[in-house]
Amino acid sequence: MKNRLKQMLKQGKVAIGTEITINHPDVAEAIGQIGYDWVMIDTEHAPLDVGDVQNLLQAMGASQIVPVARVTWNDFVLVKRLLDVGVQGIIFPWINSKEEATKAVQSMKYPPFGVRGVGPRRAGTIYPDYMSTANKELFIGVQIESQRAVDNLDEILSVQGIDAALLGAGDMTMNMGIFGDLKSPKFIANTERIAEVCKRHNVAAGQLGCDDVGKRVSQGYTILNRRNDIGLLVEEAARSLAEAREAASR
Amino acid sequence: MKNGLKRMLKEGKVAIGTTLTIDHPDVAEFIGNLGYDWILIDTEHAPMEPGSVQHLQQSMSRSKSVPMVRVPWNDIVMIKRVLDTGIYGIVVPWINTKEEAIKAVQAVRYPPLGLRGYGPRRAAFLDPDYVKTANKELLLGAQIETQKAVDNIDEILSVEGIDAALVGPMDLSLSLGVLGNFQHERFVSAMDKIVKSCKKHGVIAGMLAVDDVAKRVKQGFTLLNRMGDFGLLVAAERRNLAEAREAANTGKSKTTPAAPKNARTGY
Repeated sequence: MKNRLKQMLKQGKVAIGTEITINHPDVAEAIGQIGYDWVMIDTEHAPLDVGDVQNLLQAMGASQIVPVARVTWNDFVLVKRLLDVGVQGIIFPWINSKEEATKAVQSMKYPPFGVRGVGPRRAGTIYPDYMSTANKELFIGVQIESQRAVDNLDEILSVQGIDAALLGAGDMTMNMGIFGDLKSPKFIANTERIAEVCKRHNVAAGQLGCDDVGKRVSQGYTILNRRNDIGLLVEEAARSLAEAREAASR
Repeated sequence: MKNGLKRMLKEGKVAIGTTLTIDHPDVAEFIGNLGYDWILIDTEHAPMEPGSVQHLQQSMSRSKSVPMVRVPWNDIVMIKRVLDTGIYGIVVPWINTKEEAIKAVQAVRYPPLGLRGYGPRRAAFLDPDYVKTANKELLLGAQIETQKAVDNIDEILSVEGIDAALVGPMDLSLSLGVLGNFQHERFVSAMDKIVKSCKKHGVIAGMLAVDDVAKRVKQGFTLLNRMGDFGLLVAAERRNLAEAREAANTGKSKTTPAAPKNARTGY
């Protein structure tokens, strides 16, 4: 298994992704052919289970896109089940301390580096060298989405094996008591600090649901996604309706 | 059963719709809440069955959009199965003659007008008056998509029970030998002929995959359907990626025009 997302990030390239939340193979197949670098299949805030993730991966078989799953919680039982279906990485929500980061990394690695159990049912079938490459190639992203996480970021990123720290702006501002205020100096200072600490630890800085890709890239962020499938679809369908109503009344 | 779509069309209002081809309840629910007048569930060119049609309607239970189905063919068996799920109207492709129009009407209407069998499993569960009102309220649209259909348009639309004629622009232009060229004289005169015949017979003029809403409304088309779920999703994903790549290359984010308020998904 070779992980193109990890390679890109190591070379300092910007990786643009999207999110799948609709549990249907047509959606996954289409998104796989758009040209995104990576995709996050979201089990945290969408009603998707492990079997659904496998079905979505199967529909993306012809795609070069790197599939990553966001797990619902920092729980090694959920992580091993997701990894066994063949995702190339995991994003962990709500990592706030060094201990939580260590726990996350250990759930991703086979012994002696971690505690992952052996049983890569689908992963081992589609990647014949899976057992010898998984520890090295799987992508590990931690979400930084509280003031506490920013305060502990140096310690969190000192844990070996983390590939990316991903800002979650919704929870971050909620947690800071300034929900949605992305212009707040305190929030902006946190975005700067994430970029700076990531650089020092040679970890990619990223953002999910990124509001301003241009700005983040100029700050040094390299792993980004903007909108998810249902959000894009709904917005496009609403725009199409508004255009048609306007044209019909002209 | 009261068909709000049929009512607004009879009042001469324009009805804007979209098409569902992705067999997933989230898509139907979210699109169902955007304010479209009608939604066409497509079993002709999308892999959906009567069971899918029922599931999608159930997930649209909070929606005010009127659900219609396009059947794969002018087939009484498929039409009755779809109607029994509670759908408000049927679009039948490839109606080219008066006989085919009569066959479609017979499939959609209960006796004595037609041949539809009794068994409105979900439809009557939702509405005790269903059987009494169905013949009057169900909307039947015939797709006009060949030279032959245009030649026979007056005969087709004289059949009692055809509520709407819906142009399928791709198939029609293909049949006229001018694929995709909606400016071609042959296509333009076919459209004129269809809309005139609709007016003469008191039939609603409509168009699927409408090319130019303003122009068609001016011509007299009122039952219109624009891009469907899959096309919209792909277009939006492409734009999302292109905007992000451009922002990453230039360091400047393009300001995406604000989405209409009802398009927010909440997280």
